[in-house]
Amino acid sequence: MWNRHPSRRQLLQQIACGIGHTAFLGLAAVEASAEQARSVLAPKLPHLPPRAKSVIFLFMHGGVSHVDSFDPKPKLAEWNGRPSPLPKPQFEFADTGNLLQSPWKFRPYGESGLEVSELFPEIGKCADDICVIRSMQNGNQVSHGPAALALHTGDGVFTRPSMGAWLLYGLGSENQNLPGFVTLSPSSYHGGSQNYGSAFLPAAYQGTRIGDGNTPFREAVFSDLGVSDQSELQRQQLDLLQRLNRQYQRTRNDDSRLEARIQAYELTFRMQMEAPLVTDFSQESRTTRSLYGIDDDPTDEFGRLCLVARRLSEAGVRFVHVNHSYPRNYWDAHSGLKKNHTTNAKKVDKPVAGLLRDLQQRGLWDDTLVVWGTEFGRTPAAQGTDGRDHHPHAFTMWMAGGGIQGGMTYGTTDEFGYYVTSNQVTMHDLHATILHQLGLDHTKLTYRYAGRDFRLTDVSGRVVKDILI
Amino acid sequence: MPTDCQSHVTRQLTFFLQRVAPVLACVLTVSASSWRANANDDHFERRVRPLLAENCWGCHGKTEHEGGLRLDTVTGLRSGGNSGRAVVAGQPEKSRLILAVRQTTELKMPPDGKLTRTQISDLEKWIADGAVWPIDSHQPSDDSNDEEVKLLEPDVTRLAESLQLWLKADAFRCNDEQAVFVWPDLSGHGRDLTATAGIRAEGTGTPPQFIARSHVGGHPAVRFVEGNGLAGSPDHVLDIHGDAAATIFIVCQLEPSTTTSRLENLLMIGNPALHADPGGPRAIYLEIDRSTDTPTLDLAGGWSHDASLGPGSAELLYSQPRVLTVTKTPGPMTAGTSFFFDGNSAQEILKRPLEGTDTVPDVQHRNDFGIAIGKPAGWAGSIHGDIAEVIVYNRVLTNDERRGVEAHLLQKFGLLTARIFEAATRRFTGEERSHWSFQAIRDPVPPVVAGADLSANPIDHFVVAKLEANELHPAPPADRRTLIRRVTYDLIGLPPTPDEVHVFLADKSGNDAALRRLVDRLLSSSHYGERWGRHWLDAVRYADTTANDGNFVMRYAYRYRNYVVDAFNDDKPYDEFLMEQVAGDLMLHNDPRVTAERIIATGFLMIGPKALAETDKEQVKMDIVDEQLDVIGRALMGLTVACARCHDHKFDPIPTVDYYSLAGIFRSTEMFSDLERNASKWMEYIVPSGLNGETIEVMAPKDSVPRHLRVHLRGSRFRLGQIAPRRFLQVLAGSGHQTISGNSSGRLELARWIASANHPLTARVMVNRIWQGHFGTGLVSTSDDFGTRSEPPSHPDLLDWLATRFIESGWSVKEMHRLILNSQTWQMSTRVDPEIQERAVAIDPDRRLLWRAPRRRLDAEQLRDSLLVIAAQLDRRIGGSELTRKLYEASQVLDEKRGIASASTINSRWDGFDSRRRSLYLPVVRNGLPDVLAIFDAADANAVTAKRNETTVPSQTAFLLNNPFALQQAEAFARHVSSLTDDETARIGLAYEISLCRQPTGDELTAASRFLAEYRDSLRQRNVEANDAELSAWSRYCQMLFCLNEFLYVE
Repeated sequence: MWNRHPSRRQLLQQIACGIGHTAFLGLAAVEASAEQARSVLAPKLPHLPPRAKSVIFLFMHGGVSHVDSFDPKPKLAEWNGRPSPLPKPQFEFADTGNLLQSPWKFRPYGESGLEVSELFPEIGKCADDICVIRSMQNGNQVSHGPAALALHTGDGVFTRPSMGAWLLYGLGSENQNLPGFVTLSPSSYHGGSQNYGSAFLPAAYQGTRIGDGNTPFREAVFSDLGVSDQSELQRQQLDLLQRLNRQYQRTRNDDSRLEARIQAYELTFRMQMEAPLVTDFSQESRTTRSLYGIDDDPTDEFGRLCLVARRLSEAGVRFVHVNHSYPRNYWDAHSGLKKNHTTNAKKVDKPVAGLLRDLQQRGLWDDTLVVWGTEFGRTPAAQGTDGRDHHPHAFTMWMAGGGIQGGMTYGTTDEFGYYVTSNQVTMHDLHATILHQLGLDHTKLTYRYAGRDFRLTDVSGRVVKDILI
Repeated sequence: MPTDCQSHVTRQLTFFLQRVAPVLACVLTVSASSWRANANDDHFERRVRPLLAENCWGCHGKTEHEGGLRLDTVTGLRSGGNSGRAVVAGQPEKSRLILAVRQTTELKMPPDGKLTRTQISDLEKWIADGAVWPIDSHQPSDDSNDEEVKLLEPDVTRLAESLQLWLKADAFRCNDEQAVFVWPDLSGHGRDLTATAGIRAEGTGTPPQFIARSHVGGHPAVRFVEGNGLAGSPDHVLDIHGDAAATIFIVCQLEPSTTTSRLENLLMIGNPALHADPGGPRAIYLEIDRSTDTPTLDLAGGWSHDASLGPGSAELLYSQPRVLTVTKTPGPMTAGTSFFFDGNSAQEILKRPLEGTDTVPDVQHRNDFGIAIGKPAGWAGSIHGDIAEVIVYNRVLTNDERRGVEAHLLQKFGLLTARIFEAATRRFTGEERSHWSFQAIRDPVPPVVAGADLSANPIDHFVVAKLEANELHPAPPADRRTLIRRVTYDLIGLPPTPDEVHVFLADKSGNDAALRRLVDRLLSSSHYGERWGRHWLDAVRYADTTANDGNFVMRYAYRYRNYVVDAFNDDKPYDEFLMEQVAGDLMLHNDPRVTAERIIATGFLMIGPKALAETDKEQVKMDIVDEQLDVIGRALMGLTVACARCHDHKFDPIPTVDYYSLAGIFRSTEMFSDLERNASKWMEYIVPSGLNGETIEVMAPKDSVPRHLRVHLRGSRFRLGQIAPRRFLQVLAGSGHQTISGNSSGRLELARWIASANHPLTARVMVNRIWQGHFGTGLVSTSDDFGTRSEPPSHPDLLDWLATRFIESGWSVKEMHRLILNSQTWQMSTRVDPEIQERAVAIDPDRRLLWRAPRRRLDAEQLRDSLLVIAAQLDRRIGGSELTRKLYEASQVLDEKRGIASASTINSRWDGFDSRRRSLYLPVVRNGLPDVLAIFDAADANAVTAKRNETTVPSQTAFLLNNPFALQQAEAFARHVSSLTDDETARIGLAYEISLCRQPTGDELTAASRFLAEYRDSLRQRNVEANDAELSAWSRYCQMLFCLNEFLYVE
């Protein structure tokens, strides 16, 4: 159903009325000149041979504790209840006490023997397919807002475009009937729409939202799309509209925006047909649905998000931002660590593993870069009696598919998980690597604004070559 | 005998004696320091420094700082790296450096080897003994420029050992102008100076006076006049004997006196030889020699044995406060003496060496008094002037030590040295200074263009001259229908009503007069301020919430918004408008209403995005300063000043020291009322409103402690460079200029400078912005950047001519509107004949030469407001605060007492956005704009928006076709026209007039009728009831009208 790699001719055929693909939507300048008439969302050539075509970014909002999930620290058990011998960071969000051991056990998985905690048994079974980066570092961002913004946009203070927007800017979209960057159930907190925004890049590159942190995903829809059974009626209206628009345009044919808007109306009409299909699972088998944990409790919600993500990605959406986010879901265990992470992990473990398996089974593995991330980790020392506080100085994220080596860990932290001891990966490094896998050189993908060239990685960032296949 | 003052002093003396050591520590170091030195200097030099150099500096040194850590400088050692402090003085077990070299944890240093056991224990010992880093005059302890004054921390213990005398006027309290009988010595040696006139035969002079606010920077000082003198006891003399060394610091301001004394004593140590004993130079004696007309300052050993600064040198101490330093090495007088004024060597100032003798003084103490200031006894005179502080050591301090004490004294007494200004002064090349926008605004003579039908408006002459030079011509004038739609949208952001259109078309006067009348009507409408206020709010990143994590509601931001609307409606002179926003709280007025208004204006500084939950509060303050400088730079002056935060601006002549000069002004201004850990509160306070004796609460800053900042190298406040004295941009205000006094933040001075008619940028930037508002693009297309990377203006002479007119008119924005709107250039049509168009597009595709008028899409507010107008739904009330209050109530209150409520729960579906008021009044929730605005490219309130994007995206067409708001207005529009007439043709005509300002053509009528009939039929086939079908068909038809390009674009 989804034409994943359309040729130019196929693209033209996909467009109703055979109207020229070039005079199209998304012009970002005031009244464009002829050469600017190409769509800003048309596919563009990458800088390098790409390994992957799209990204699925699984955002665990609130700060997943690394020492309780993917970075085992047996010394914490030994030192449980004792003050940390290592100096605490200069900047902390709140006061912490003595070291706190992990309530969960770790065990090795697969041939690689990669250790994962009891929180994620299903993801653990995929150990040979994922690359766990234990040396993530998010500067001194000890609060959620700046940390989440730094993760998504590269900067916690200034307004910058999100990684999805940069990606779309760099590569365009392969499916002109769907938005090129979609965000599922994002929170309105901690930067809100800025985390999937386009900032100073043209608005066409911002993420299109389905649902939000407050709404069960079952009820979420693409907003502003008409109901398909009204489409005949709407067509009558559109026909009159377009006729008059054409009349108006006839004596103003140096203005390509007019044609662009005519096309945009047609696209809206077409999207009304196609977009609802994205969330319609009736075509998916029972096996697939249960792989993701759909219709089961408590995995149904996140399972749906993951399945929609696969469908979108398969259909050519460049960047799918999948949120397990506040207020309905939150990993921010300042207290009650055990209950918080147990509850949250149960919701996501099976769906995420299901997504990985599904991508493999459908031959989408190499083309899809999956990133599982969070805005910071949590302190090895306790907050209160049973919680952990924010900790950006060292934490864990993992990546899979899209040319990333599986079954490996990258980077290390000290014996308690306080600081990175080797192979630090900053937010900029992460972004450089993601762009690289999609064929973009992070130093070359620039945009002129306020007098200078900007890029996602600002003035730093290195591609983490050691984790690439 | 003891006066109140003296007994008080005695008590104080005891008090201070009990606290000498810590006081000493506080004064002689800039901050309390745990670094202490002893024989470990040797240990460090022999064992630790070479170890570090060999094993660590490769990666943690001058060129590379792995992990952000430097181990080759004191600063680096103390700052630590990315992971925190490397060394905790006195505690090796807590020092990461030790953990790393022990290699017992995952952190192993060096990465490719291990230090020997001995080396490790050398490091441990070094840290256990205080991790001393000796200050070495031969090797600078960090790599900053030797020429800069460094605020070093002199080694306390070493200096303490050689401290001989320490007098501080601010250490004891006296009533102003009271006699000082005792000046206590704080060195610990008890060498108090006293006035003993009348107490013993040949006693010292009469007691000097204590002055609370002296000439020395307004600080307390002891004032000496004719006959005054203080001297120490002969039983407690300074430990300076024989062929001695000394370093003397005196902070003073002296005056020329009119006494007959030939010699005035500033400070005497020892016994200067008598005239009768010329061979005995037995003193080190600072004097002013008045035997000639040009008094000299010299250091005398005795009669005719001195090292002199030469004729007139005493003037260096007159009429301005000074930190005077004198050093004397053992050996010959002249060769061994050096003078410094505010840290600058006398040689450099006077450009001549000392003159004098080679005598070697042999200091011997008198038996009648010890050290003396002023008239010690019968024969010498007193200096005249204020002395605030005296410090004497019995050795020559190293350069670093001396500079450290000088810098401390300069800072303490607020005497910035010429050296600091000099170091911060940048001299620009001719090329840098020659950039077009830095030149004074000219008043060019408009070119003469022949042509009978060319208007008298000089704008047209500038434009047409350029067109003709490129073999182009202006487009014909637009018709009246086009003009009224264009000008109404331009000036008030709303569509003209059919009646207004009729009146304008029927106006029988000539086009000029009719348009002028129309323009006047629009400019006097209160809706004008709502439209042009919104342009301004774009530029100054206005919002009602703080963004980022908390997204707290700023309850009083709306006052600033209303101030802006009023300012435009009242045509407040733009220079006043600017000054009030930057420094209104400092511009108090008799009329409390004006004062309140001016304070509200400073909301301009407060409305930016803020990371209030950030725990690093100093960082938050600097980030806020940064975004303030960004707005002031880009919105007011067209300069990207904020680019110089971490380094010199890469393109424009704005050095990083200039950034910090400006930053100091704002860092001297307080934005917060508290700095609570996870949710700091911005400043809100109560002021009289000036109405009925009531008060209101406002959001505004307050001036705080004035301070200069240091350059933050790479933007990091842990790596501080030179002092950046508060002042303006040097390339514009002059290299090394000084116009801000020590006691004010400088905001008012800055405001005046920016708003000055002499400022080359301010007027140009604003007229360009006004031009952009009427043409879609400014004469300078980058309206927030007039720097060296910007596109130069398309019509530089026109820009300057307009800027000059703007200033001449009294900075009147409305007059500028009239001037522009009156021009044929603005009144052109958007359409020209196809062949002309083809040619013109080939020559000037971006229409920078203005060969036709631009076609512009309605912006977000115009669109939403228009839909409400044509649906007869718009609530036209001006001003008010109801929606902000509603927002606050709908937000999640986190702290009622401090007024902190988070708007993170507010999304685009909040019912407050259903208000039918003009879009300007919808609260601006950062990262949570209502869809209708966000989708149509409303400004992103997180940053300065100089010019909005204009996009064409399917989310817009989806909105217009399907969004509930669009559907509601469509239905209301349909009902409205239905209520006016039953006749179908008339209704269609009305719908066209209301939305498109014209009547439909015959074809359009036919098409409309056909549509309505067919649509009704389709609905009836679906069993929709007749009345509903009727309404539905009309709603779809009316909706179609506002989906048209003809509606969405203004010609």
